[in-house]
Amino acid sequence: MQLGLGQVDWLWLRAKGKMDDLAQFLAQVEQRAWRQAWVAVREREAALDIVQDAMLKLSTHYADKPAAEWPLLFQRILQNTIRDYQRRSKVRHFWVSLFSSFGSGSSSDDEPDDPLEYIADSSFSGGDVEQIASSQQRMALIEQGLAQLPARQREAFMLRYWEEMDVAETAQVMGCSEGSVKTHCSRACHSLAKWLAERGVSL
Amino acid sequence: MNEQQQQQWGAQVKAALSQAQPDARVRQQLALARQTALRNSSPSANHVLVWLEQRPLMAVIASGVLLAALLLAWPRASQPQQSEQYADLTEQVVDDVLYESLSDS
Repeated sequence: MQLGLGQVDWLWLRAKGKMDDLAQFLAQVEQRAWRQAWVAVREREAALDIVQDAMLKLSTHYADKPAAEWPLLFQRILQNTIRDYQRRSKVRHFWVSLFSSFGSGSSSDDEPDDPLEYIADSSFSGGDVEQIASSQQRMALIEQGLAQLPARQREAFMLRYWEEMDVAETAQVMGCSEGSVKTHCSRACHSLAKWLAERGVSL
Repeated sequence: MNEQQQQQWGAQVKAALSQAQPDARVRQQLALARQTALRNSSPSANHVLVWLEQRPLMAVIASGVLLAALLLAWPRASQPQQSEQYADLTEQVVDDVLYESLSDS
């Protein structure tokens, strides 16, 4: 019995150590994850909810998995949560737009607030306000361009280039073949490049 | 764009996007969300239950030992007559010891 209790103690300590590792992992990925959610849904609070939901699912169901598996698991959970949110909001929008057609008809295409802080770049000597403003504008356009991509293309693009995953990892997260990932990425790059070029944005 | 050009272009997009980070409020809310997520799955009874679930034999033995301990302890606690007898015996022993100690002095 003494041995059993010792084992439980050891297990508790091991679990606590694992939770510390998990906390560290989540702290590393949370901002990038929020950015992904923000680009996909363009709503600050919704993006926060999505990230919290994904973190909760990972820590509840997969904390016991080896730490090396967490990045892919987390991305998979995050993408699924984003997709679920989009599906729900599509249904909600349908009903809201149906009923709001009877209402006052206030404009719903307000610009979302900008929950991003611009990082001061040392290359902008003397705080070149004009240059900073144009960079901010360019970034906002890139985000808009990403937001208007089809969901699967945006997902592939963000996983490949924002999260810097390779094709195999991206395919694993998206649950499709590597060929599909390449196709989605190629289409996303072409569409986004074209969309940005039409607005005079060069990288 | 071939695959390599896509890779380069994607890296440029990432570099452009990386010029901004979530604002202080969002960072604060993210930290709070992380703490909430971790608190809800902290190593507690949940992990002990998982451990027991993974080792059913150990769980059965532990339950058996617990049950046996309860069965052994139960009659003693539930028999007031026996405890009265013990009290009488204790009283007698104390009296004897006190008497002997007084007689010695």
